[in-house]
Amino acid sequence: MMRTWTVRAGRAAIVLALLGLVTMSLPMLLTGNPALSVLGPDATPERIEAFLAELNLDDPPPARLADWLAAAAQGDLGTSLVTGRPVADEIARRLPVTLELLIGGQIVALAIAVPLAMASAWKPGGRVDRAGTLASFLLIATPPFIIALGLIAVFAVALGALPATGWRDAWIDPAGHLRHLALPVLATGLAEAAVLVRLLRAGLIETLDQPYILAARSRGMSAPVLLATRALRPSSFSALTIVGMTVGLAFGGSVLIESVFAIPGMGQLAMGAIETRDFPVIEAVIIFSGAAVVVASIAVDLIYSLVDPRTRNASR
Amino acid sequence: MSPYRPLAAAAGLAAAAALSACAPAADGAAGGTLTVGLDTDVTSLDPIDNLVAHQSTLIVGNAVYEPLFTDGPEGALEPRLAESIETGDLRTWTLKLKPDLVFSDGSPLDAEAVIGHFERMAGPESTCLCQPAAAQIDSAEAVDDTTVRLTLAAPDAAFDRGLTRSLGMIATEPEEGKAPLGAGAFTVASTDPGSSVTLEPNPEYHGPAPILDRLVFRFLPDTDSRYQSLSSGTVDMVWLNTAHLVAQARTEGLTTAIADSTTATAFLNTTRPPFDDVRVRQAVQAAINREVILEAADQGAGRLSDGPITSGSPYTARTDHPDFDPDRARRLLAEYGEPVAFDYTTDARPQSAQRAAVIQQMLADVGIDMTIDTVDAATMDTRLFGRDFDAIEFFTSAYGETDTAMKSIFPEGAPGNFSGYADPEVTSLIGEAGETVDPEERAGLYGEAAQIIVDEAPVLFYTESPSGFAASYTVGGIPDLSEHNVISILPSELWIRR
Repeated sequence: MMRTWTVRAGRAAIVLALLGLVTMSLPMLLTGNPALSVLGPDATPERIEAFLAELNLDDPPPARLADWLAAAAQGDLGTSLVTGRPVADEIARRLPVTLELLIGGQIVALAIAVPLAMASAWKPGGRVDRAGTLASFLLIATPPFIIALGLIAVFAVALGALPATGWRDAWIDPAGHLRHLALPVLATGLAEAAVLVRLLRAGLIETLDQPYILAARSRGMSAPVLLATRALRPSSFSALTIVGMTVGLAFGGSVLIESVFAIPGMGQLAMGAIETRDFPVIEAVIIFSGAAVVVASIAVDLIYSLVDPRTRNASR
Repeated sequence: MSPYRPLAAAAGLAAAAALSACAPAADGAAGGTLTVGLDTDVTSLDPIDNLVAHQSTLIVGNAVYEPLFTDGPEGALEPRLAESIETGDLRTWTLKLKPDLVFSDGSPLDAEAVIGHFERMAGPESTCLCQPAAAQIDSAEAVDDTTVRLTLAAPDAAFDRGLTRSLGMIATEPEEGKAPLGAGAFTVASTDPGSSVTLEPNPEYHGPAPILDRLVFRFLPDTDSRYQSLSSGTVDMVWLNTAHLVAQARTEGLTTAIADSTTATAFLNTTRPPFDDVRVRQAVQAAINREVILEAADQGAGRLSDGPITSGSPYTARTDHPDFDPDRARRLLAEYGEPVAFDYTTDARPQSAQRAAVIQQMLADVGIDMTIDTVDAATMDTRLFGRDFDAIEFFTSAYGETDTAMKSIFPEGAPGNFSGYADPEVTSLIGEAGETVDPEERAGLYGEAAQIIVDEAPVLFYTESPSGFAASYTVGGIPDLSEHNVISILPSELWIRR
């Protein structure tokens, strides 16, 4: 058991090291020059050269990664070239916003997907299943930003019930905060619910064919109890994988959702940094998001082993 | 207002006009919060960082600093913190300030403060786009508290134009981590990077106190949801620079401050084949039907651009743009004698993509093989500034100021001469114009230069496209900017019906 987890941690470290090296190579790989964003188009070649020399962008990627890690170990993720603010402060300010969006989106997705998948799987081809299938395919086929603009058109423009865009600090204006959170969370949740419903439904239909389910039904166990207590857990592996990956990836922020709803999260931070080639911010966001994906995938493995003890030694 | 407004909007327009005409005091509209949605995240309020001097964010700079001058109709300069600026030879300028000006902390905004600001903008570490203009000041002398005498290194007809943007936004030396102070109608109450900037009235303001209690600028990066935010009442006013939304705002009869102030152009790299040959440049120019671009990319909401002197320029000289003539294009290409293929670098904005697509089709019709190379904004800048392109789109408000545009884009070696264009006559005409005191005479010189530029086509001029602000019916005090070259609004004049 211990060996299994040591191997996984080792692999994760290799993945992160490779990601770090690629990230530190970005200044060489990407066209676009941060000096132009910071110094303006009229900067002399000498000033541009001096500016770039200060950033050590020409150093070999391993050396840059080692410098970055040494500074990061002391909590220093560098300073934004554009705003002059510490990158760590910027991430600390943006991360809670993205996390809130992420957690809210997962709650909405699961709240929709689990009951709908159970109802669909219980009577495949029934009304609920057909309606659910149609709705989920429609949502899967629709780009997330169209879902977002559609929600704004209905709930903000037509009904006037919720604000279209923006963000409010939860400590200063809790009610306004929740009102501004509603549509982005719904947009995030709907898009993911559509995928989860399909995966859970397929898993449940397969499980419901198992003899132990038949035995439980023959003993008179009611449908909701049977589904929730006997069928859901063994049917949720693929859905768990998707939730885990989504959680990991979402640490980098959803650029589209954050852009449409004007939410100051990690996605917008990354987008702005890429547009201006603000390398300290780009590097920190990529390494941070990469670490989140790796940690999330390890967490999913851990949850697998809790959900199904047979997977505990399946490291190879 | 623009002549392109649909008739169907007449009723809504009449209502909006009636509302706009109401004096705020008369209907008890004083106070309130006005929320404006912008396309730019104003991460720095210091004029040296240029972020309060874009066309969409001038409203922020105007609120906090109120420049020495603002852009008036037909290129006129309207004095704000300044009373006047005079010159006899375009080299020595006398700037007169309004009396008793103070910054928002009560410290004096006098001749010395103005000189200090100019020196900060000119400094070697300055990142201001105004740095070259500031650096040409050879000497600055405080004649008295409100008079500054400036001597430039060389005569410059465009010098006073720069006083409408960062150079004219007189600011204090900023303290570490804080925005500098200004003498505008508003002061900064709070900033939330990535989200918003909140302003409150400046109690020390020299003019009538602002009508609003609070002015909030929100960063709303997505164009469509920005417009929906206006429709839903989440914000009261938004920046628009996409033709379909400008057309929609006009159809819905919203109050607008919109002008055809952004020019869609492309630089052709004259330093390398195929555009080092004037016949190829002229062939491309003749093969492009600008009317089609206007319909496809701007949905008809704009006008054709005939050259570097825009339709709203104070200089009345106009250029004669060659007509769409594919046969002429084919003849020129036959004379050139080699197959023509080139890369057209552009960004991913829908309007840019539409423009590139129709241009590609029109050029294919005459046998030119154009490849569209779509890149992000940072790569665009690098290619442009590094002169690393065959042809590159340049969508700009720079032509709103004719003097500045002419001297910075077309003379040989000018900082914005990204085409590498080198015509001794054009360089000489523009140089002469910059030293010519009489505006009529200057207009003539610019006109001659502009005609050569259009004939030799180092830059392709497509359309003058609309951009500006649209506001809900509850907002008043929005000026009619249809005769302006630059979208510049003073928020102290805005009010909101509560």
